[in-house]
Amino acid sequence: MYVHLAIICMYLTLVSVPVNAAHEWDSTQWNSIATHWMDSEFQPSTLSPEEQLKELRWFASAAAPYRNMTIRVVSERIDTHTYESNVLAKAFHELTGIRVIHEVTGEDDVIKKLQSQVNTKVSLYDAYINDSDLIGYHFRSQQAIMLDKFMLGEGKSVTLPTLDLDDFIGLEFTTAPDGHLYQLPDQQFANLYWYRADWFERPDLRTRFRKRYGYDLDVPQNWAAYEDIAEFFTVHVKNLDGNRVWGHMDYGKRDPSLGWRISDAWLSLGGTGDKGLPNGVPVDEWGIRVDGCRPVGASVSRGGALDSPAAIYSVSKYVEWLKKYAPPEARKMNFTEAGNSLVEGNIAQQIWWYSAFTAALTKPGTEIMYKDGKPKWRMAPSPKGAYWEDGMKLGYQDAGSWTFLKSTPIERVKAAWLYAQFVVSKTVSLKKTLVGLTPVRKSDIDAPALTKKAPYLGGLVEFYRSRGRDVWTPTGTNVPDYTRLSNFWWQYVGQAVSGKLDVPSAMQAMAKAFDQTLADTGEESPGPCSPKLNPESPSEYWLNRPGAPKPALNEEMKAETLPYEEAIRVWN
Amino acid sequence: MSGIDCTGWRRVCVLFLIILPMLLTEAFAADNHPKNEHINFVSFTDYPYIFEQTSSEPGLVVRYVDALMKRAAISYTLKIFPPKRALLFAASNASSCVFPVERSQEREVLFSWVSPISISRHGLFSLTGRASKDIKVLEDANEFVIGSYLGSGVGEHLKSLLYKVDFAADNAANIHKLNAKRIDLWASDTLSASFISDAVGVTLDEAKLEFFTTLRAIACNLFIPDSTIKKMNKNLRAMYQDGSFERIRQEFERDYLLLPPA
Repeated sequence: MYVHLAIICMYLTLVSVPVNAAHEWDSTQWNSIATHWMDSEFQPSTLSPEEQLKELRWFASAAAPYRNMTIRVVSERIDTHTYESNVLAKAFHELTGIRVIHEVTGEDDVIKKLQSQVNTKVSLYDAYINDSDLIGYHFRSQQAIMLDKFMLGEGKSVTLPTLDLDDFIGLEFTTAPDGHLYQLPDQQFANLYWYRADWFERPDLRTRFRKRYGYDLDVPQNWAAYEDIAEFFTVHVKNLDGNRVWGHMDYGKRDPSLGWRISDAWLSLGGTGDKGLPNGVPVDEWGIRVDGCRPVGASVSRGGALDSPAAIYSVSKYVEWLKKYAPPEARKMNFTEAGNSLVEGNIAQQIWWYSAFTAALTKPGTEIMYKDGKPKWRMAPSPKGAYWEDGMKLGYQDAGSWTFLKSTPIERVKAAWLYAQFVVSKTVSLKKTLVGLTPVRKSDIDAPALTKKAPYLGGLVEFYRSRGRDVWTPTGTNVPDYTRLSNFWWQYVGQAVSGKLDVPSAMQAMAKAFDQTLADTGEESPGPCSPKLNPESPSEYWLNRPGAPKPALNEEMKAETLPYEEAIRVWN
Repeated sequence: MSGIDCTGWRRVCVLFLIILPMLLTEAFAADNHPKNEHINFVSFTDYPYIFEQTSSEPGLVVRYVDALMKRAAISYTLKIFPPKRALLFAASNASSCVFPVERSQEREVLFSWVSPISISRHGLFSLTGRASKDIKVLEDANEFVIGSYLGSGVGEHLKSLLYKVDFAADNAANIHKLNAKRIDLWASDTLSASFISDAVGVTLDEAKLEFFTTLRAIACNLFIPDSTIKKMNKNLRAMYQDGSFERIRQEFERDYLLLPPA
């Protein structure tokens, strides 16, 4: 630390910091503030102290015209954004004079607020950290600013010279088919298989499992093995070390987060869509078919796959396993409640789990942590369903990304753009990654600090250092209006969970609702990539053609597991 | 020259010309008020957004709703209930809607939504002259007791973030709690804070931090036809976009400054 301080002091002595003529602070005061933040918070960093200081100096200078402005941004409630809201917003204020109100709230609320600004044209926020799942909406609605054009045009004077876009791992997810960049990733996390490695390694359990099922208790490669393991723990093991244990965890409360559970990954892992990355072509994992960039239908009768045998199979397994193998209370849980429940230490595995919970699940002193600070659990690639084929996406990745709306006054956009770049700048990004564990920069992922941390993170670093980060993908551009369509998932699947509708009826009704909304969207906002439904055809017409929608297959699979080291090779 | 000649039938004509607009208005209204397009609104007192039914001033959000329904040509009635009863009433009565309601994941499934009917900024307030440290970000408030009221979504939000929240029976009680030093900060939307402090005659500092924005909505019974909900939403959007809501707000603030609260 003393070496570090000495370098900074030497640098400050040699290079005076006349931040900007417009800046009210004297350079000594500013230098003291910068040194404080660099030394107390922005470590480690992939930049040298001199480079950090230079970058901070640029922010102070570029922000001078906006000093004393208060900007508002909103994001979902995960550890990364809490850190930004509490720590980085304060640092940015002290370093630039721009005050930031960084709200954290439910993802559903973020989307509603963004949609409200689009609808009313009332400038509610100066920027949104909005999942890249909305990219299909942003490029079609043309309500969001194209960042690539902004950085070269109106935003040139406030674009960080060291932003280094090539260093971001998720730009493919935020670039639309028109080639323009609409969003800048702020945090990413993936949906991966989660399991209690300590239980899977226990000789007594391994022997019992092999005796009953005829193969090793390891990482399941398909849904048949996952189901065997779920049954093994829930039905046969039941109690472990005096505690009731369960072989499966999910959630089923009928609220919007149920929709994400299904749309994020159940259909994709079941094999509903077509081959192709980042999403299936021409039918994606939502079951929406496109012709070029134009959505043409979700129901099988129009060439989509939302009510196809693969989709019905996927949702049937979700409902069946929730009822048979998960703790009974899981049916009444939502995303946050279920995510946090793994800490209690009574769940053996989860078919896919959000790695955003890594920080919460590696807190010391819980049932799922060893005393040396290493986790008893691991993350691995999720098992695949009967309709899944090589070449299809392997899982979902969330890419919460900075989004700026055209209805926000441009001077406020510029000030907010400075804050957005600050929280992803190399000066602060590695520390933020270590706090929130949601990396967006290659330089952070490859940093020695992350290598040192890797044994304590259950496989997160290994995943992000592999090609897995490219084949776990967000919702794609086939979805023209995420906000409107995502409502249907929880409404219809919720009825399947409650038993009000059987799964085929729920999926057929949902596919019809999708088609109607696609038609409405196309009429309301005509354009070259707007939806226009295919005419209805007999189901056989589409089911007998290659690709999705796929005809009913034999859904029985030969169960297969692999040891952890082999299972994660798929990432490479 | 074409037109109505009133020379001989002057009296009848004049009468006809007086009555004609009324007849046309009635006919127009009847055309645009199909039998099923009637909403029984329920709401609850929430100064200055909703006043008691006996008050001459209905409140800002009631003004919004009135303008919206006129524009959408949907007839309505309004009754004021206690908050919980208002929500239950709207959830269980087929032609009923309740406003203003904060949307949440839990409530999302229970209603159809017309949103936003109001947009509020929420701040942390303290009494003038009461020293407290500078609050730059919300976390700076974690050492303080923050006053809110039962049923407040913002209060619940703060509580879920592990802040020390003291819930009063209603928002107005917080001004007395501030005075009695039972709370350090009051979390309130800015318009209510201004209205309540004026009514009580207490001077507040400017909000130390405007930390949260809420959208409140009209929550309608699920049996209300989609076409009615769509029509209301479409008109709502248009009224934001053409500045109607902003004008109503400005008028309200002007009137409210002229009319001291009862």
